Amino acid sequence: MVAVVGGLVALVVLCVVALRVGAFPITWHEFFHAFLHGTGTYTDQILLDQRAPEVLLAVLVGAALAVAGAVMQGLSHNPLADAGILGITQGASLFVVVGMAYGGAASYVSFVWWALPGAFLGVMFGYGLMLAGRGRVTPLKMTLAGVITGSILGSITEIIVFLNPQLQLSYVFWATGDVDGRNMAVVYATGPFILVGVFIAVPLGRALNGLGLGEDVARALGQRVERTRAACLVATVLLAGAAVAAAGPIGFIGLAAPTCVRTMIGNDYRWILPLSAVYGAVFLVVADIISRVVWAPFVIPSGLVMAVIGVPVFMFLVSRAKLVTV
Amino acid sequence: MRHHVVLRSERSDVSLRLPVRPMLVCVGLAVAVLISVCFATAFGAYTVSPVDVARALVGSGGHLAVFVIRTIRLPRVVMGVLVGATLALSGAIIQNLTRNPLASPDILGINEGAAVVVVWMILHNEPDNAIPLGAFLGAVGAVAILALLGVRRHFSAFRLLLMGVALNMVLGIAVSYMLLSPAAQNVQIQQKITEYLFGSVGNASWYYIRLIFVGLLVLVPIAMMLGRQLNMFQLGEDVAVSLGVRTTVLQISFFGVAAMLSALAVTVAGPVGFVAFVSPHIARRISRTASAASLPVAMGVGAVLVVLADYIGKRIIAPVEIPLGLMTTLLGAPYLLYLLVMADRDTGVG
Repeated sequence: MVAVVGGLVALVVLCVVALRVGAFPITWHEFFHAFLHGTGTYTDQILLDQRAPEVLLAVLVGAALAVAGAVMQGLSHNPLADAGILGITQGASLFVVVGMAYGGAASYVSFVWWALPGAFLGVMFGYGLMLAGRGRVTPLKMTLAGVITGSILGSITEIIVFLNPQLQLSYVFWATGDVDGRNMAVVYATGPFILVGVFIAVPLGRALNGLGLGEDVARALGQRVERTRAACLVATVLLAGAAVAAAGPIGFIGLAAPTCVRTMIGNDYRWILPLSAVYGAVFLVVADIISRVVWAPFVIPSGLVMAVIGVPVFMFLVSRAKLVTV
Repeated sequence: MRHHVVLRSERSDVSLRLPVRPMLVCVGLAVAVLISVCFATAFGAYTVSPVDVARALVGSGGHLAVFVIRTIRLPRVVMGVLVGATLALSGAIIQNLTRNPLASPDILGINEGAAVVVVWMILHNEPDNAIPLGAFLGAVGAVAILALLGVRRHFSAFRLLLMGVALNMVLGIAVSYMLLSPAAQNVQIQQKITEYLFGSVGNASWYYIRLIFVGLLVLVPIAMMLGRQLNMFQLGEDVAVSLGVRTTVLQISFFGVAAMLSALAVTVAGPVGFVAFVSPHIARRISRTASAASLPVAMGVGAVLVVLADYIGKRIIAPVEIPLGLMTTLLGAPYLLYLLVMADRDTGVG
């Protein structure tokens, strides 16, 4: 219970903090003015047009990546899994690079419309092949198919960047991942996918617990294994695809958030899934706050903050905690 | 077909139980390595006939042919064989030990450790011939950090993996950060860094070959001798303990061997990706065993993969060379995908 209440309270507090701090600090008076009866003053504009979409996206993207990671870990029985192993990230990256190189895409908002179809196609390529193949689809085969598809798509991306060196800078920036500079249009474009994905994924906890005992046991318990798998895949594609489209491939949340949650409450997916959403959101909001405060008035990418601060913290936790494997 | 052949000596107590299929696959792969070596040595921008290749090898024949074969092509091909085998063995050990199909030395930060140091060196215009030393120091440094942070009294391979992934991430960001720095915007430097980061056997020399060969001479027998215990590990850690395996010592020594193999490969060839991950998977599937018998098979697969990837990458859109690290993926990934899709029965290897 502490983990649940603490996480939610932390999330709300952090969101308020994230809205108030930055290159231009906002007072409480201005804060309530903007949200209760905004009249379009300068601070109203900063809050509503710049910070609100950013914080909203941080919450959505953080939650999406964390839940997608947790679902993949449960589905593949592999504690190292996250949405990256499905080929989603790489598919989205490939399409964004193609967009940059040949499609004239230049702004973060326009990247969304390249990344979304890329994410979906990346997954469908791998799983289409898997379903077309012979034999039973095992978690191992699924995992490998996703990783391999991802590697192939990733290599094609690298070749395009290799042949167009002028893209390197903008590609590396996008690939670091960030929520800065996104507007409400990005939220409207990707938010619905994420919400639907969360609604599909969170009720799957019971089924994933069953699958964790092995496919045969799950079947014997009366579960429809195929249906669970299909639901997991759909949810992950929606969540990770939209998240990558909105913020770039922010790595690590998908691995770290479920791992941390698991050390707090044990290996029960009924709790892991919703709590991963909360803590994933907390992680990214914290990263967003730090990215705006540490070098103000400049903003550093929150994906970078995630790696520079989040990873060592995670390493410390991992070296102390008694680890619970999948 | 019988699964094992048992060799026993009448007089002494020595006996060997050899798995048939992995052995046959090994023989097949040895032939494949030989063929791809001959092929890659004979063909290129300057074609040498097989007879002249043989002549050049023994030292007679025209000066040009001898130069092309013995100084340019053969070192590159031989180093491809050795680097491929080294990476594949490293990956096979880590995958077998952790029983995690996603594990490989690539995700443990060893390559990135080398990359951080080398990119820094390139940015500071350090001489080229110091790069392997820098790579070695970087790789060993990463292994040391990993050992320091990941090895606790209650050893857990999973903890070590997580540490590796996290370390890989930090170092990867450090490389990206250096790539974005003003000094890296010089086109020549940028190109040099990019080329390095994909790995290459293009700067092969007999010196590096001796280096990696000596390393293999030490490390491969250790890996093979411990193979029996590795098999027990496949049954799960608890079972291994009850069978009398000293799991902590074994795990740490295996991780050590795998890390040293990986460091060796990155020293001479840079961070060649994907070979360590994909070769053991292919090996387990074609030899139909997940036991330690798949380790030598993986080495063969890795060797063929690197030699072919290097050759094709060099030739396909010549004179532009496709980087080795990309070609290994583009060759290895579709083949594994094919094996996965066509697997029509449960072979016990997933």
